[in-house]
Amino acid sequence: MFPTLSLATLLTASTADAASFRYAEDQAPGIVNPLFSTTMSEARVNELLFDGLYSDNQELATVPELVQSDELSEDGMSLTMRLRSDVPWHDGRPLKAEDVAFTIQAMKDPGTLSTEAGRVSFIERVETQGESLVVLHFTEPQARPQDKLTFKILPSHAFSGSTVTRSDSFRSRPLGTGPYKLVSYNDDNSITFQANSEGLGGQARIGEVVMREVSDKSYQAKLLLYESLEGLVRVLPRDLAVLQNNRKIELYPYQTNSWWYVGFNQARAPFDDVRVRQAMSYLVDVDALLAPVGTGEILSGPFVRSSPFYNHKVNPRSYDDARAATLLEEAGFVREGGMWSRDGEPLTMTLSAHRTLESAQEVVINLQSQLRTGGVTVEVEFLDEAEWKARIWRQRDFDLVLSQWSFDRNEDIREQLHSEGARNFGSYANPEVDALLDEARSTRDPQAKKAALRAVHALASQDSPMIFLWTLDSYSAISTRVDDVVIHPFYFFTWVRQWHMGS
Amino acid sequence: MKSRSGLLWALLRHLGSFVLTLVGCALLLQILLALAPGDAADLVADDPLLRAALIEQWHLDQPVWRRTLESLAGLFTGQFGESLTFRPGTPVSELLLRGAASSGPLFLGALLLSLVAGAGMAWLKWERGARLLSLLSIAPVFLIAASAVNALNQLTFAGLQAGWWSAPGWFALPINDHPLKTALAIFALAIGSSAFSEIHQASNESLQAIRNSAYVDAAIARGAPLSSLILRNFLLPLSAIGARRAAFFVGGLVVIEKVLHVQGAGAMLWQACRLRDWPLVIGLSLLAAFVVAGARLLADMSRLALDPRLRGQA
Repeated sequence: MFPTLSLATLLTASTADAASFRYAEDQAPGIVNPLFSTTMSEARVNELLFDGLYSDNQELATVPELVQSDELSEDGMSLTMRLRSDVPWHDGRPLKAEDVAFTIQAMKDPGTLSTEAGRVSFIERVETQGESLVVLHFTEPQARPQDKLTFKILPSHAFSGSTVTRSDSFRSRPLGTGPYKLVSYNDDNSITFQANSEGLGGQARIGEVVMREVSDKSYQAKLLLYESLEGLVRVLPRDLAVLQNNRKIELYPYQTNSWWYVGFNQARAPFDDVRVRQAMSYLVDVDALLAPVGTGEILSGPFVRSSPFYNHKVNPRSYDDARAATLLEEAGFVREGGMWSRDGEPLTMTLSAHRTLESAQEVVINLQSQLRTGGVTVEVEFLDEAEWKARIWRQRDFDLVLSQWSFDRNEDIREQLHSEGARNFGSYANPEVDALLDEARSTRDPQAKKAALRAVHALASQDSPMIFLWTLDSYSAISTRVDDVVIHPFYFFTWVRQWHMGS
Repeated sequence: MKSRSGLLWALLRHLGSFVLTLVGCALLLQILLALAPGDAADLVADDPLLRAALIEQWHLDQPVWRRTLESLAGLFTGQFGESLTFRPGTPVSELLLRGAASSGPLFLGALLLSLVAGAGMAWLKWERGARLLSLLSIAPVFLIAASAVNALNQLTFAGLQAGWWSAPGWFALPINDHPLKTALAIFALAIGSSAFSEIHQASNESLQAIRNSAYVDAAIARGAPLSSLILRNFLLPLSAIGARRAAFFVGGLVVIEKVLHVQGAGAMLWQACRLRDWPLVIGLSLLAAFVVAGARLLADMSRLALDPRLRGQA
């Protein structure tokens, strides 16, 4: 009996490493509550602390996480889920169906003011049956509702009502079912996490994870070289060479669903004229813009090349000043003294760029120079996050913007390109695109969705609401002391349970 | 009797100036914040309905005069509300205390070091040392701190690679909290951005004036001990010099804490501005104004108390 028990223990027990995994963030999360996340640093911390009903496997397909089994009704209007019975909260209490119902109700509750409320808008109501059965009823038929059920689940017993507030003490003393527990939010803005011995699939193999706030991005790479950190979420292109040549550091490339663009304000002349937008895109040499900031893939539309929705029949525009000149002349512009003007008014514009966008300065300066050579005067301004949201998103006070969009694996571009989209601050409107985007969102047929979005790609390329630039090759850098590392391209820590400290 | 009421009037005048400075500061702050592009609701909410709800909840739609009154009331009650975005829900007063606990030693340390070094070298007429520090003093605070951090890290790492030593407790700066980091912050703040050279020069001029004064000549003629006489008369200009520099050191805290990763009031103010956390910005700025105006008030009161000529004028 005894030897059998010992062998079983050896085979099943996973012990956590004593060493810490220290990683850097530009800014420590202000709030640790998935209902109020607004930054990627918060999303990464949520990944350590909480689980969702569903998550991604390493092929980025949706797989059950807190769910044991599920069944979608034939009409696609409800999903019945049985929860796992072997997942306790960090305080030892069992996960219950009411926790799922509470989380969804709290997100929907207008008093909560959750930034994530949109993620559950397709759920009409939640029903619980017993301790482990949850039935979700939808507002309209769903083909793969599981793909949308990756938000994190909160413990109902940690709150007093269905309304959760940002100032709730949960923000600094969170309770989850995730692979790590929050041990301390330290005075130096670092956060210490300890492996949860009763998490899904057993204890995470690295005993402690520490998030360090290092606001200077260029300094993060140095700290990794000095072995004062074990991980860097994203390596700046300029640091790639030095990290690549260090035998104690390994670079992990990953594919992101992020792409850069130059957007036009189509509510303003002359960008309301498609010929001017197209002409501008012909004046930009995208290859030359990309070269100084790293490597990547040039795009012709609003998806990354690896996406099933990318329309490979549409080619990216190449630099063509003769074509640009023809289009501008058709739009009523004349070129005098090398610069374009219409009715005596020179073609001048302001390019607004996000201050925190990596390498944006190089791109902006080169873009300004390219357009000046093409006869267009461009003024430049850099805006911080709050000013960006206020000026660009809310007031729509801009000519051109340089920025990037990042998507999760659903790549839902409706908000960006639909005439009623919340993020369509360039005021792009094409009824055909609207109809296709609506169809892509509502259809239960994956092939129909793919066809609709590929058609959107072609139309967007033609209409040029923005100059689609590129998706950058992205790398994380991890110390070679950490083994079995697999990185989620968006949430980073999704598969952290299997990471471990080597020799 | 007349002299006593004059003194009281002078005291009231100084106190009034102190209060007016704080009121002006609060009003100016609120006007600047009202003019600043973007607010906390912009950062948090993309949805217009959510934004409207947050604006109402956070009272971001209140008029400037009302917010000014509330922030002034905060000065007396110590209550500035809750942080909106930096540490949502945390009372600003708690964050102020935390910030002051980290920044206080840096501020006082830098003030003391700059006065001791600047005035001490002027007193001792140690010209060679003063010239050297004055040269270093030309460099901005951030440059001194960043260069020192870089040099210490590079040197230590080279030694580690060569196997000459094991990693010291402070390695790598600045993310590890260590007394060396505090010492470096105090030194850079006390010396950099002309702090040392200006204090040294002002001290030199004051000492020169005192040494050339008629009462010192009289003391020399009497054969009286000079040092205590000069020191007594030097303390007043020295306190004025210190009060003048206090504003500089408060401003310098923002830079040095950012460079050296100190989680004090300066770094907090930087973050609060970036995150449009207006209650925290107001609290921290009024705390800074209180310290600067308070230092000036203290210097004025000291002069009034110690200088018989001023008391006579009053």
